[in-house]
Amino acid sequence: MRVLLVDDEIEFVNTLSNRLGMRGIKTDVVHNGQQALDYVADSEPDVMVLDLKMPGLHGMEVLRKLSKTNPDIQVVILTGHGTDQDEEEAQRLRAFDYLRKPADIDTLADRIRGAYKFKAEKTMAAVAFAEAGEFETAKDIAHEADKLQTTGELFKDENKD
Amino acid sequence: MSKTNADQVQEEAMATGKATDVYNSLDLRRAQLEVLSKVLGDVTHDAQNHLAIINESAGWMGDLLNLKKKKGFGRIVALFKRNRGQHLDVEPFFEGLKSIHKRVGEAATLTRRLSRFGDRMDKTKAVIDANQAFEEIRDALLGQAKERGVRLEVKLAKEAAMVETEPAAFQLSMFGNIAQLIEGQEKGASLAVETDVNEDRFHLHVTGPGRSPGSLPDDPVAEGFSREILEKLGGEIRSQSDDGKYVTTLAFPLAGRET
Repeated sequence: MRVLLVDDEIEFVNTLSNRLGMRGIKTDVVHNGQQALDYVADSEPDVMVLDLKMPGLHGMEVLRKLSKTNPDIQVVILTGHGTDQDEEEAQRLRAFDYLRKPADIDTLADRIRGAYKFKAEKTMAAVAFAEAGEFETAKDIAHEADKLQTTGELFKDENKD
Repeated sequence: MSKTNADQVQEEAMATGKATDVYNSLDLRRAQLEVLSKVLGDVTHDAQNHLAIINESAGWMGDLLNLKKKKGFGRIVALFKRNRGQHLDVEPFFEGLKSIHKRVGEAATLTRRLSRFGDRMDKTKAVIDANQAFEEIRDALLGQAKERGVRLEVKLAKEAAMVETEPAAFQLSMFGNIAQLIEGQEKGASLAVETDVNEDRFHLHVTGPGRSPGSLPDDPVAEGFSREILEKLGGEIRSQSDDGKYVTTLAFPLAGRET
């Protein structure tokens, strides 16, 4: 599992990275939106934990770009500045989840695992149908999975316990 | 409920039948609410960031203790006691404690500023320290600059600069004028804010690259409005460009030394 943490609060994100590491989640860290896009251009992470309010490129802009260019990356928003409007916009752009700082580390770890599982199962199902020659079904799976993701019905509840 | 500054201005304007003043008082209320919302939003964001770091630092220390417990913490503590800590790596704990201590202090400073800012909102006239009044809106301006991708440096004079003014309108005027200068910058630009006290005036200088951006194309009314409030408070604004940079100065008379 490849996880990228994007946050301009260096002390916060480095500690978060250490704590996730202790829970078996290895992460890379960048400190602004542009660095996140540059990272993605080089190697695509499975999950991105993304802050919103950062200098330069706002997190929502990063999410907007990723939803067009790299829709398979699962994005978990982790912000101290979240308004209801931001949350709705993030859902519309198909963020996997939306958490407010300060967040419980085990909840965050669960959401990251859930996001990864969601991505893996979506990909596996689509590949299986594509291999069976059912390309339309494969496309439908991807489409339906995206729809489910926005309503939060899939893996979040499963991973809450 | 006590009357707010804007209520009083509006009542006076309606009593004298001056339509422009009524319009301005409504505009003043709108602008005050905008600044209030901006300041609240930014202070809350910063406070939550401090809390998040405190949360992670404390959590990290807890993680380390749990790990040590699993690896036979009792034995390590016994060793620590015998050898005065030489065999226990306590550095991460000190780092964590230092971080928590620092962030608690910063969060407390933020809430103190917010509380003072709130106190000023419904006063119609008071003698205040202009530097302190600026400090209360500084975080919101830094937040605005950060969002815009502009680097904002602030250096406030150490000496008190007492001005007799309408505190909320005074802060609104400083906020409005500087926010416009921030909005007029290209991403990556740097602005410096510096205050000083000179003879009978408090000065706030904003230095930036190029020429003064002047009014914003999409909100020329706001620019005029911030300036109007400044002038009503007895202040003045001037700009000069030289050597590829500009300095915009807001000046207000000091209390008891109005000219």
